[in-house]
Amino acid sequence: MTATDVVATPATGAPLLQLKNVEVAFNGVIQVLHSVNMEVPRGKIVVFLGGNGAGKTTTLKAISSLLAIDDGAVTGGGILFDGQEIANRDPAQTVRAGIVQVLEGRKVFGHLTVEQNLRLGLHLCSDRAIAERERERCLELFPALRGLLERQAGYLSGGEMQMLLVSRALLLQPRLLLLDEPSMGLAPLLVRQIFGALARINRERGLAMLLVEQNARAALEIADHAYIIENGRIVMHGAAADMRNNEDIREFYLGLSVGREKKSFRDVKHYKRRKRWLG
Amino acid sequence: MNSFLQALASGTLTGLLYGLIALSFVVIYRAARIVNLAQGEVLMAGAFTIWMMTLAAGLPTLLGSGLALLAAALIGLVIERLVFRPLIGRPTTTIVLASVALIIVLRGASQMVFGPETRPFPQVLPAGAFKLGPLHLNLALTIGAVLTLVVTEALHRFFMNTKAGLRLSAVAEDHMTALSMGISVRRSAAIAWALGASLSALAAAIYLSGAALDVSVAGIGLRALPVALLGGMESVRGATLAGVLVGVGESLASTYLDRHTSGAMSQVFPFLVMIALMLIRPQGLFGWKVIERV
Repeated sequence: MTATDVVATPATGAPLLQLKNVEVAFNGVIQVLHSVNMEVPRGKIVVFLGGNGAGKTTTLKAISSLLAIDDGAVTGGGILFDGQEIANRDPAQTVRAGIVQVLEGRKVFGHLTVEQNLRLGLHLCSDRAIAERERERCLELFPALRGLLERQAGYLSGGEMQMLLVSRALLLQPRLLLLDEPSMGLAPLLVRQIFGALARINRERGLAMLLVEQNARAALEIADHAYIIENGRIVMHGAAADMRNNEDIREFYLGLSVGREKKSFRDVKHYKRRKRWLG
Repeated sequence: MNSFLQALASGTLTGLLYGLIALSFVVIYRAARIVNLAQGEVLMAGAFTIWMMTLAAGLPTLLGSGLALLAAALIGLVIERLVFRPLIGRPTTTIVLASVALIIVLRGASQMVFGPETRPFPQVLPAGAFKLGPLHLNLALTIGAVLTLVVTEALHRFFMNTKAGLRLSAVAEDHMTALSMGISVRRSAAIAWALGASLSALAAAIYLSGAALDVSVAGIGLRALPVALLGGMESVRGATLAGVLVGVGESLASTYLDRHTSGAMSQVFPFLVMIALMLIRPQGLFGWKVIERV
């Protein structure tokens, strides 16, 4: 991309993140994403639904440049963040640009204390006053962490870990937060708490989020837009409110049957075939 | 009684030297997740560097040795860049075998450059012994022991309290997570290698001060490996403490058991500790236990 391209893209009108026909392959041969198009508008929450192995995590890692460690790469299309091409960069650069991903599986630094985990979140921040302020903001958001600062992070409960992870990511001062299944393995009450916090962060800071979730119901409640991916292709997208009322989504992602009986497997297959067409 | 105390004291001093070498294992392992079996050869390279800077180049001993520590850091960087960086993300076996290859390459290279002959090593630390109550202590080893303690505490604080140190700890925990937070795995590995190689050179200076230098000094690396394992590969303070344990054990074995075992006991002691440890507590005394969660 040339400098003129950058200037030509208006910094405000365009969506914060834009995926244009993104293709991802591992080891140069195994193609996982096929022409994925997606947008995250400024200040909005976008939820990304799909089954196991559909390509959700791969899409997130394509955005945050974390594919290389698994021998993957964006092989086609482009990823624009604020109008700048960011595909296949050094992940450290991507973080500095303002994209922070919370990986799935609650990856706290388990042998360090909560405090040390938080300080790692501040590792790019050189101003002490700002660092202290941001840390205080996070502890205010998740007061439960305050009493755990000296605790070894590996021994926190699942919910506490997730709070720590979100805090640690926020301390990196992102402009776009990527979250990979934050509710995985959490009790319903905790899921509500985490999603409540995410909604609050979005409201108060105007922080844009791209949220990968299996818990479609909770996610659709706080999201503005939703995308559905299957077999590496986007098969459906639209406003979250519409998605909540969409019959197919209710059936297959929310577990709410339209009729009295569950749909049969044949219907499922039919549904999948039909959705291809939508994509 | 006196011989017991003497064994205890000199064991502690030798043990702290082991601890220092173990630290070089630990520092590299923490940040790069590499058990570098060639650490003894890195120490040997550091020793030759000290010799070149002092006796060969004619610089004052302390100045030359100081420069040699910097040069050793450079050697560490080169090894990391050429051998281990291309192997990031490869299976552990590959990396371990690469370190075995490095043993052979470094020994071969120094044999080629410096020849097989034994040469004198400069008197970096003052020679002689001093009396402390009933004990006779080696002066160089005592100074080395103090240095080791200082270095241990400094490294511990570095890893636990400073930004750069915490970054290294983060990389030690998980490469992907570290990357996701904008922490450069490569830079951490490079810092770790520079530090590790420098520590080895420092250990060489203490170990060899006023003694002889040839390729065989590399053997001390493998004697220090059980120490690093005993302390726990991730634990800075653990390495030093384990050094003392092994040093004392070895010295007691040499005082009381060697005459019954034709001198073998003190030689095999660290490795007996290593085998027992692998069976009982694989993560070492203070190493990172794998935290299992459901």
